Amino acid sequence: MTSKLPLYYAIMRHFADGKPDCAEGVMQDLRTDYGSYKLFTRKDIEEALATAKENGLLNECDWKLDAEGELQTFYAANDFGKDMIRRHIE
Amino acid sequence: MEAKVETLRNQRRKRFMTRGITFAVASGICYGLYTGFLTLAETQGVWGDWFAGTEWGNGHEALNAFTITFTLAALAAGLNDLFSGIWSIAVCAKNRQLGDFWKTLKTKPGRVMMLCAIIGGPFATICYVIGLNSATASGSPGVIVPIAALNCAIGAILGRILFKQELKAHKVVGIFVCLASAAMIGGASFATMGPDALLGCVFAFLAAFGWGFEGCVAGFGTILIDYRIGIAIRQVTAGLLELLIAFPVLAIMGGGIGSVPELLGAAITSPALLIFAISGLFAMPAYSFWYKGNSMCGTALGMACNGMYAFWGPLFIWITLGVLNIGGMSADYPPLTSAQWIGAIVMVIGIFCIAVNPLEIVRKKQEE
Repeated sequence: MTSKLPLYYAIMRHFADGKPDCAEGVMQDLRTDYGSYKLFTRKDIEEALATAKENGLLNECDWKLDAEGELQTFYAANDFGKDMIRRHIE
Repeated sequence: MEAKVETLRNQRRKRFMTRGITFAVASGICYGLYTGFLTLAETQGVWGDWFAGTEWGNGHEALNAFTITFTLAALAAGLNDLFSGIWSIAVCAKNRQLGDFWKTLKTKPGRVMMLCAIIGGPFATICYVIGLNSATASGSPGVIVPIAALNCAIGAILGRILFKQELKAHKVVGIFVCLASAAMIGGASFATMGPDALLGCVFAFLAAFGWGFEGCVAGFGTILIDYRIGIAIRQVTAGLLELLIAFPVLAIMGGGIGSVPELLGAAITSPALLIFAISGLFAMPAYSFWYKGNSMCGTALGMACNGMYAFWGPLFIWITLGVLNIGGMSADYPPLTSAQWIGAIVMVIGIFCIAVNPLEIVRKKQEE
């Protein structure tokens, strides 16, 4: 990839195919390209996902507890979200 | 296990909501501070002579009414917004986001943000400063702030139309309560309203419309753009357009081409420039927390919390120019009236109505 997308675009594009994922999944996928970013933290990415849900792009679809007993929330893009991502980011 | 997940989810939802409301309320406070320092800056140095309608600099003639009303508003708005743009870029640099800032500018959401800046900056901010100046001239700077706060209602309605955000009955009631209290806060000043204040109110209403549109479009944009990058794009675009286009055009209309360098030169060499740097410093979180709060808790609630600046604005104008007597005109800025304090409490109740459905709380109590 010669020119990387801004981090927040990359997070949203991760959901373009409609597959559900959680903040850790997003981080694993983007670590190679964005691992050095100061705002590449679980807290910041979880907030971005929760905000996207609040704005109607993503739906919460599953919840699990991770090894440390922390809540993992899984999100998937709904039709509106997929449409927004397709039209505005690519 | 199920129960634990449920508890954690509830905790998380509450934390997220609280954080969104905190951002939105903080934006209102910063808004009040920015309005206070902007009002202060416009009383200092050469600005004082300009607005007093006296000779200024080394024997320059007094400015005409058009220049005082429109050109100075564009200049003040431009200085304030450009300073806040510089502060916002500094924050991006601290978070090592300058690369993303540059890339975002060239994308579609980045351009939408710039469109918001055109409507919210050169249009609404200049209208706001014209309103603020006219009202100050008539002796009641506080009066236009609640009118500009109408943007919360306009934003919520536009959010409903454009983005199908929910607007349930309790939210509509809350919005009306907020508007009524905003009117109460400004109401005291209406009694002494002269023609200047009326002009101020008209321009404040135009500002409310511009910001209402901006609040719902840009707040929505921050789901695709980090709010710190969003605000940097907004303030730099607004500041540059105001200083490079709006100000020269208005200056030429009011006093010919020669007045462009004259006014700009006097403004940037005046010590008041430092106060514009401070008002710009507060304008940065005023807007960025506004964007952030809106996208975290929905336009209706976010803008209502932000709309509390109907109270914070007059409060900080009173504190900086009245209590602290910066500028030496303390008698012109009397303390807030009891109507204004009561209005503030009513506004908090209105915001509460937008945030939670009072009927649901009653129902839950009955179930217990």
